[in-house]
Amino acid sequence: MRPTAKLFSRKTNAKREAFEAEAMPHLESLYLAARRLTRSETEADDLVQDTMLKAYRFFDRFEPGTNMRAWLLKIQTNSYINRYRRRLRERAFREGEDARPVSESMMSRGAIRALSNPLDEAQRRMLAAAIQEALDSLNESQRMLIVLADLEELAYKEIAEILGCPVGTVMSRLHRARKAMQAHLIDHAIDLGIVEPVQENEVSAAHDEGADAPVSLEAYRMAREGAQ
Amino acid sequence: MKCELIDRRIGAYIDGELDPMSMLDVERHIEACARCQEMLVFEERFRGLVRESLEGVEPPRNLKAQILSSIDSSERKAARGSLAARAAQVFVAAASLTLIVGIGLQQRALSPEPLAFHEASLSPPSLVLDEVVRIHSSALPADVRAQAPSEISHYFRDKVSFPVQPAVFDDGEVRLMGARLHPVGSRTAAVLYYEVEGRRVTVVVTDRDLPDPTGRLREGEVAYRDVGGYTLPVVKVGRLTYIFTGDVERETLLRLARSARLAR
Ligand SMILES: [Zn+2]
Repeated sequence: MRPTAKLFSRKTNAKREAFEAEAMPHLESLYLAARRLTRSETEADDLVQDTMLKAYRFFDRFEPGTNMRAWLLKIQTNSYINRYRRRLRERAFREGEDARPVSESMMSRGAIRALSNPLDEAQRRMLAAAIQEALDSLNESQRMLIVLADLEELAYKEIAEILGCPVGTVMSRLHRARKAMQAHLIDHAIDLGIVEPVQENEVSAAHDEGADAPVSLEAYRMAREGAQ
Repeated sequence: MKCELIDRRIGAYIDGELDPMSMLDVERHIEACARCQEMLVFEERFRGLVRESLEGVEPPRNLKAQILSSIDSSERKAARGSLAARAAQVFVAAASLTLIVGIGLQQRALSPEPLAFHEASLSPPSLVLDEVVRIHSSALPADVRAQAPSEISHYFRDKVSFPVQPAVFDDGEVRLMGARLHPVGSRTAAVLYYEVEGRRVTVVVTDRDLPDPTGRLREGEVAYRDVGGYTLPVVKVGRLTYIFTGDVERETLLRLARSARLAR
């Protein structure tokens, strides 16, 4: 408790203490999500401060027993959307929701195996950079999904609530976002020499259903269209 | 179930987000299908790589402190807001008290003839005067309600960076009612509340220097300036500045400023 505390009423002090004990431990989580969303240190800093002040103001609306981290991430995601609404719209307009659907690249079994094998330290570092780039290549709504699902590991239900859409939509969009990231990553992995480029015969075999067929991203596109 | 269907569900399967029937279906297919087993290994691996690669960002060390201090300042603002509503009540209550002005040890009399500030020389200090008008007109409640100057001095002891000696007056009609802290510019000033014939008079004591390029205002002299319908006599005492204003006639205020003494 800092010395200024004595300036406040007992009720205010209790609220500040509760906030410090319950909300503050999630600061690192919020900051990580903010950095990955904004891709900027200063903007992340700003966004998190804004989030925490809002959370404090509406602290009595938090339902005890529910997930505090999800509640905070909801505030932050909404702040982010509101703050960058214009920018998001512009980007959505430029890129289109699915301007680059699930990429033309194919994920060969070779690629899958290569990425499943143990990696050495250098490869790991290169992949980490490639994954960050892959995340940045996504559109805003896909990036939000990856951050909330794969980084913050929230439940689909919580994500659905944050983004205001049905759980089924979270599932299908998340699937698409992951595939888009994988496609980007495979491109990089090929450049980095971790993965062999796709062979001609593998591509042509894409539509076969045999156990040896390469995993075609075309299938994901069809699956996506089927899901909508 | 076809492999393509599995591909579509494998993410949710790993996340444990499929309904129990679908979980079983996917599990059964994967057990029997080498391709989808590889796919599962890859998807899990990929998930791990993503988390590992995107984690490891630490918030700046002062972020938490910044947030807590913003919270504190918003609370202070809120406290002022809610108390402001009670200000009128406080003054009514305070006014009903009979009190005796403690006549402090006479240190020095504050000046004879008032001197109007040179208008042009006053642009920066006029901001301070504007703030004093705001402080007076918002009639914020006293942090301490006391009539004895020594009590007021004591109250400010650890709160401002200078010793506060309230101004006292020979005029028995002037009553010290209380005091509060208030920022003036970047500094914390002492705000003293008085009553004169049932009207409020505020005296702000600040260690903020009011530059006087004309050099006309000497120690102990009274100068004044009119701001927003208020008259503000100003007196310099050492490195401190006493600024008066109130809901009384200009002549009354100037008379008060001239006759003010410092309590100890
Ligand atoms: Zn299969």
